[in-house]
Amino acid sequence: MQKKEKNNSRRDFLKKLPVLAMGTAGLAGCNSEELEEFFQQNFKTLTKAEKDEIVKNLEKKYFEKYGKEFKVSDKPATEGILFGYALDLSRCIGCRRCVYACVEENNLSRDPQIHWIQVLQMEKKNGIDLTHANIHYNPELVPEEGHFYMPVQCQQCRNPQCTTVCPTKATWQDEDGIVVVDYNWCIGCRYCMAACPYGARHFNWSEPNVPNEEINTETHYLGNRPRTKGVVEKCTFCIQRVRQGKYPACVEICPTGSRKFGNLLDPDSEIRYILENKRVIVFKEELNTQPKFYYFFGV
Amino acid sequence: MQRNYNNPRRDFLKMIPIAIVSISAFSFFNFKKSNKYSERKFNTLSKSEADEIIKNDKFPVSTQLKPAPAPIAQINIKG
Repeated sequence: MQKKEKNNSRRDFLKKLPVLAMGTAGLAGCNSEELEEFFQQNFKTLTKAEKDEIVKNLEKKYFEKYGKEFKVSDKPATEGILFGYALDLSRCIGCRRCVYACVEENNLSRDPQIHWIQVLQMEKKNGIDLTHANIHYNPELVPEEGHFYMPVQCQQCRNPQCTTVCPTKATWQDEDGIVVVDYNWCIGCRYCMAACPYGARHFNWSEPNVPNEEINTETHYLGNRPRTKGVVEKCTFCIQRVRQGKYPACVEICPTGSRKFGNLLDPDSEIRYILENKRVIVFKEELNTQPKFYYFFGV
Repeated sequence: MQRNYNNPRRDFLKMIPIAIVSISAFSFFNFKKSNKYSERKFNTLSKSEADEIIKNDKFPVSTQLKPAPAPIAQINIKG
């Protein structure tokens, strides 16, 4: 039997008209900034002028939303700097000051709650035993008898699995070693969360809730700028601070001085002194993620 | 008459030196890009050694503070 020819271009054209009309209506519903944001290229491929334009639009958008002047930096990594972090387990008392300093500095959602730092309480008699670690401890005073504390946050791996699995390349490791996320490119697939062995990535299941009076307006495009529902976020060593030459908020707040931070490429830095004179614990060393976050015993 | 020169084994063997040269060239670029500090070795403490220090309670802490509120509904990292 001969196949019937169905080439009817007028009918085809009329069939496509409603689709075209809906598409046009959809696009017309967006303003030019939303369209620009939607069609924005990957941050790494943008020119300085394009980045400036995006940053300007974001500042305008945040002003309209929060009624405050925001500063969104896009300061790139400085050559000759590789950030590293060390934490003295013998000094940490588990007071969680670092957790809340991080929440305030990085505009983390208060409800639903997101914490980039988790302080694990473990029993000394069991050693480092994650299966019996407790993050919900709440005694009158810390440290509790017979316990020690191990704060865990993004380990800024040299061999990060989270960036490898990202299907849109929305997350990558910058030249100074900080693993960053471009929230405009994140599609919220959460592959990176599954790949991270440290539980360091957090997903915004709903619109983040930060009280207007507590919002930090000093932000970085790849760091603490306000996020939206459906994107993944993580510790960036306070990229907005460290790229300006300051310490991360958690380092500054620590009442016992158990947190050390610095440039691994600087032979005179405190972090290099620790690495060269102390024996350090690399968390989950067997996974070969090669963290730049080291634990040590100062005593 | 045209002769058939299709010899896959010979082709494969011919490609091996090219592959070796290109792989070494690319690994050199990779090495150049990688950070210098990662090449250095430093003393790591194995888990058993760390556990021994912790179990023997070699770091008594005298400072005591009231902890900030515990997180709500956060999931604990598991081994």
